[in-house]
Amino acid sequence: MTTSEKIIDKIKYLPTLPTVFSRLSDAMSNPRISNDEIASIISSDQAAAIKVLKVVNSAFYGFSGRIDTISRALLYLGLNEVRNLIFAMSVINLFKKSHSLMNFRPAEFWSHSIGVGIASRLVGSVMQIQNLENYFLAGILHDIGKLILFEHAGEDYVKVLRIVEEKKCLIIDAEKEVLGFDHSKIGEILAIKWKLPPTIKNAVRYHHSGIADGSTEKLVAAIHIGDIIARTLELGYPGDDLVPEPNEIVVEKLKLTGSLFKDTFDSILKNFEETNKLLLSD
Amino acid sequence: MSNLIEIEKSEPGMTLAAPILNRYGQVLLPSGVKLIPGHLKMFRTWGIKLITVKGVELEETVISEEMKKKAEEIFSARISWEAKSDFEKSLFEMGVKKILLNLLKKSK
Repeated sequence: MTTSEKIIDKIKYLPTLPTVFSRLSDAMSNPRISNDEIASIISSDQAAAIKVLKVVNSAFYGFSGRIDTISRALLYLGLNEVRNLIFAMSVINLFKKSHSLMNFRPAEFWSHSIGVGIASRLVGSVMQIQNLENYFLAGILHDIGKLILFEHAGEDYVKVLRIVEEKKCLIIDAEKEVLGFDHSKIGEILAIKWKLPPTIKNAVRYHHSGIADGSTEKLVAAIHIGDIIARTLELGYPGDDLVPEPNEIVVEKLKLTGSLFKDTFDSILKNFEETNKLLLSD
Repeated sequence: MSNLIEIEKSEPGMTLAAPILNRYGQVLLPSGVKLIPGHLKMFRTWGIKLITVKGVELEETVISEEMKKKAEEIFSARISWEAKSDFEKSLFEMGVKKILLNLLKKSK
């Protein structure tokens, strides 16, 4: 078995997502389900429900203390947005207890992913996307393959991290050198296993180029730019401290200008600080 | 940068970085208002416990040319591309700004 095959084999046995999320997904497939029934499923996991309310009332959504029940959160944000938020929190919890390896620490990894989620959502809103529900979740998941490799590629991943340190290169280049493939491929396999929507799967697979299968999907493009913004502003640590060049085609396609940052620098940092604290606390 | 502080720690002269809202979402005081001595009493009456005020603004801090150059060098070492487009130039500026914030925090 090659390293790639061994890891793919291990993915089959990865823990499934917590019960509240599975129950929620099942309930949502019933078109007749009411908001109250959904709210009671979410509220059955008190810790998750409290966290949802905290995030909803933080600067991230800007409701500043006005939403005090899950029913209201569903009403204001919509079912998909709340479900994705719970998904994001579930995935973070699932891998929170991973150990540190050299200078790669799971908490810093998640901080980076939270940063990418926040920055990508901002890019999406600048692009005037009406429905931003997948942007934060795609940011949270974009590098999930790294965590799988980190946990299951053992000694090989130590080699990857050593190369990053010695050559001061991007972690993706070191992964390709040692393993012959990179984390985006592993992330894609997990996205398929978890039956994520194709746009999120593509964002996980193609966020380095920002282009999926020759076309510029908006979500993929936004995650590409969000990753670069998070790296520029040092939001968390993705495994190396370099800032890759933004894909020219993506910048043109999204019509991104310098003004994107003029008024958002402070709010990205503030949102990041607050959301990071909320999602990474117990 | 802005900071969330308890009203007891607020001082006259501080600037609100976010509006103060009541429980119905109505604006009691808009963002940008400079606090005066009477505001603290008002916050207590309204039952407001926390407010967001503006922190140290990079623009208002004197930054030496030497420090700026150092920040540019640090950020340049993290990229292998030259900022050409308007977007890239702005990205570069933001990277330098973030490093300056780090340097200022360290020097305090």
